[in-house]
Amino acid sequence: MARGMASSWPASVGSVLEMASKRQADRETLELFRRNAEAAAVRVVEVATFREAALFAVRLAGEKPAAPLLIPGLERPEGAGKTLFFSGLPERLFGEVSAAALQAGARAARSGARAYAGALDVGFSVAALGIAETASLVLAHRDEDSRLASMLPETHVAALAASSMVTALEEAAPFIERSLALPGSWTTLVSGCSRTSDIERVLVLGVHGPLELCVCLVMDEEDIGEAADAGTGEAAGAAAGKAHGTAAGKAAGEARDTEGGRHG
Amino acid sequence: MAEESRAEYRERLKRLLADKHLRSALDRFARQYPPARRAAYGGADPAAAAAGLARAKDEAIPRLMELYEAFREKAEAKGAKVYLARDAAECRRLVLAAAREAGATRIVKSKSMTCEEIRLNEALAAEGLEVRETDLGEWIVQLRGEPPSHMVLPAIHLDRWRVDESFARETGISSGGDIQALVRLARSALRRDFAEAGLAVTGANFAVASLGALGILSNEGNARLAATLPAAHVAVVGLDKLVPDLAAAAGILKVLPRNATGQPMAAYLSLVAGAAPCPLSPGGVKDFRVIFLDNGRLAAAADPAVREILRCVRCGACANVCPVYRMVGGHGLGRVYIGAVGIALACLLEGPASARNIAFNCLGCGACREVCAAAIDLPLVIEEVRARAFRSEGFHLDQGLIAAILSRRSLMAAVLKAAAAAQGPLVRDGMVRHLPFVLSGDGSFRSLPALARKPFRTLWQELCRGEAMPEEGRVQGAQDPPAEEEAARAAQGASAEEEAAQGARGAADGGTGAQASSAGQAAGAHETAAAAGQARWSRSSGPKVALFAGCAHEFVYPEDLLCGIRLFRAKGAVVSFPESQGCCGLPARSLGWRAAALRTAAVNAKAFDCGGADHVVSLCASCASHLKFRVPLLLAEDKGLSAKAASLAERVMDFSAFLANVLGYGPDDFERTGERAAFHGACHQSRGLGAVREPRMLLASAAEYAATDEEDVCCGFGGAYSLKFPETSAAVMERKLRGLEGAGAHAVVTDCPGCVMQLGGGLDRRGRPMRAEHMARFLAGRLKLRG
Ligand code: SF4
Ligand code: SF4
Repeated sequence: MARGMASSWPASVGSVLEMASKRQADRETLELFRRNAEAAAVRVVEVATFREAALFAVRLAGEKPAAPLLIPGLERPEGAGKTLFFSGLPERLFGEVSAAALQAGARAARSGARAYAGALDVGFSVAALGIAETASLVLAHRDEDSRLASMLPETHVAALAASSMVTALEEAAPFIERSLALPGSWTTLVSGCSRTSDIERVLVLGVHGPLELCVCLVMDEEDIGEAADAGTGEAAGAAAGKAHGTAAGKAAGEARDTEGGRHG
Repeated sequence: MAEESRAEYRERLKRLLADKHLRSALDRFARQYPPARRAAYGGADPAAAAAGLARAKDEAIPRLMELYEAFREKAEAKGAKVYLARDAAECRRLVLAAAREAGATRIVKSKSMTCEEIRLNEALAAEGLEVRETDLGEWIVQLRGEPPSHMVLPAIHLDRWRVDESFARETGISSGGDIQALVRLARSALRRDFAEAGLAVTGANFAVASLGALGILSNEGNARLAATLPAAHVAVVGLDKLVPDLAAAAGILKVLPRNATGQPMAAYLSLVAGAAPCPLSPGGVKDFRVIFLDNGRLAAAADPAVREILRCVRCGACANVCPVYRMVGGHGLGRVYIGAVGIALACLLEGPASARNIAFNCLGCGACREVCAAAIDLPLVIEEVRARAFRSEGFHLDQGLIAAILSRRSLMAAVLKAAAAAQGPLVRDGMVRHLPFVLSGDGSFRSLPALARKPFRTLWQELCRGEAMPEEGRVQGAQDPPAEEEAARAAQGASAEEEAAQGARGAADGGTGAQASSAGQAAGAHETAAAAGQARWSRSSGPKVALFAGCAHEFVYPEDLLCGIRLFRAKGAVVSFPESQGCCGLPARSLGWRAAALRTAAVNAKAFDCGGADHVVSLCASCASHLKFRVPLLLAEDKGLSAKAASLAERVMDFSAFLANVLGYGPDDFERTGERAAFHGACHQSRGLGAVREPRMLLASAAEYAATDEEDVCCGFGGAYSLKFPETSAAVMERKLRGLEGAGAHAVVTDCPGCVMQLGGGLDRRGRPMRAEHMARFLAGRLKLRG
């Protein structure tokens, strides 16, 4: 799929040109996403790899003030101090990221998210798709930890493969449909951070969910496979296939779908 | 609960009208909402999106049970338990059972109007369960023991100080009126509830049958937390939320967030299919139940007169633009659901008696229909609700009297003739002074116009006899009418239309008389004359226009009609006035008296089945709109008249649109004075007949057109509305007048005699120098003379 495609990239001048024009088109979609996201108070940054995205989350945790304890008595498992919760991160990256977190004065965790209901500084999760028109992220997580990573923290950092960006909801629909066909599946469209205008219609960001949302667009084609390896790439595969329209990509996406189906 | 009487309801509305914060909050909202909505749609066409949603819902509504079965099969295969509750009591029992089985003592809720509908919180509390609303606005109103006052913004009626007071009482912490601090306080106060509750109760915005999936929208993120943290989750969902597939759901997503909050998309859409893994649950998966609620929905789905209300996606837009909501809020215009849809659902879900007060607290302005996310013809449904309320308890004396008078032309003529004679000594400057007039009620907020000395019919007959145009016909700046008549006649080379009209009158007189109590006879007599008229008409090349007078013009402002005729003839149009016509029937219809509405519809369908008039024009936009859109519906089942009604409807045209588009009136036709004139877009003109450009063009051709904000917002007249709810009518009018006066205009011009009555009466009562004038009079007075 995407990884195979990336490695065949410089094979011929023709395909390089073709790829350049595809990337150009993607650029426009990415810009549309950025514009709409920023209008919804979402921060968008471009990073090369998922590793960088995770390290970006660490940096944010280092910079922000510690989250107050919302449930007195429910202490954080690690005791006082800032906490980061990672979901969807490949095994080998977590070690590196935890070390970086410690240096930034925060602890990293990646299981038992419930325990952080009282206070969580930063949550990291991987989005399956992006929808540019509405600046939405499609999160397709069955496990509770991955879902809570985008609900409990003050800052939610979502990593999204740039190649997983589509323009409109309709293009994401086939993926959403397949995702919902899985048992107990839970698919969420996130379009901004938690907000309210219930008091005097004054907009306040951050009610029960994150106070802030930051999207890391992962630009490196090579790296997309990492996300797939981490078990969240089912969608990335489907989107990559869709976005690039290559037979290989489609086949890969479908293969993963049937796999998913088998699991059901 | 004993139903509130009309008088008690009015008293409650008065208290709401006196709530300064409510008024300013809603006024601000009413101004901000339309541009925010427009911006959210960007380049997309809201009407097309709404029509798409309407189509999808219309396909789903007759298949709700089939969709329910499909949903159940899919969702149960994924570990959900799915139920159907026939009524509110059964639904409450099912939720209670879920709470018991989950061993829950504390319940977190995320906003659900369906739960409000079944009054779930009271039932849970009665069982000793602790219920926590987690949507910020819902929590605020829960703490205050109030119902929500808006379907999307439940606490819009409260300011920060009142919220602070409630939060401080609950948490012991005051935020000093800092809104951000209040929101943070809610975040921390409710987080423990999410973490410790044994059960979550949510609603859903849609249910996708093909996937067995619920869609839950929220901005605050409370629905996600509620549905994730507790070990058990019950979703209470109206059967009407079922859609066949994801494509239909996508149609909802295209309009709902935009219409509801002016966002392209809500912050969170949770799509929940089946029971998700949950480490807290004994079985490792969540106890997830979906309870679909019927409670009258299936009956409504089988009821063609009201079924389209089931398209509603609860976006709240119909309240956001409603001029009555803007004055009294959701506690005044709602029961469970709020705004136009609240009126309809009160009747369908709770029975017509429950709707009898709010059903009449509607101006029929059509603003709700224009923004409805699902293209529901809300005023039409509200009229049906009124008819049911009327049927269920017969008419109140006041509305019965008004409807009876208005629906019988002869009776009305007799009553008004007597009234015109009686008012004599009390009239000054065309306004009635100090008269306890039969229709004035508590309407002291505006002066009432005097009844004309001679109704239009008499003037028309004089006109036909070639007598001098009566005094009322003289308008400021107008040419001497008789000479003008001569000129018009000369221009046409024949007095064909007058002869035709004369013929018609003669025939009618020779028959049972113009005031025949039998409409059929009168119309029959008229048909003969019409045939004669048609033969003569063919000699003239101008457009043939039949005039529909309407009660207000016929009895109060007949001179406006003469101005209209003058404008028609000046461009060579041939005018006829079918004398057997009656009241358009709108008052009877809007009072819920179907029999009277049918009678008047029949009278007019017959009266205008005549003489080959190309166009039927009324100077009253409300009459025209009623003839065009309601008469064919009323007579659709009448084999003898449905074709006549359809033909009438097809020929009905807006007055200004007729002047501009058929007669070709434009800037060259008027002496453009330096006078500043503001425009008021009558509801039935700008939204009903869709004439937006033409009246403004004409006004700008004859004067300096001073554009104002919210030109198309209702003036508060609403016919009998201003008599039933004078305080609200006055409040709507006040707001309108303030806007108009801001423009520094000398006159406000409009195409509807009702608006002239309301605005003119209001200006007079307040002693303001601005006058309200009908477009016909304004234009006729500035018509250029041609050699
Ligand atoms: S017709 Fe006008 S007054 Fe009546 S409910 Fe709709 S918006 Fe409100
Ligand atoms: S009736 Fe229409 S405008 Fe009103 S809430 Fe329902 S969908 Fe929205």
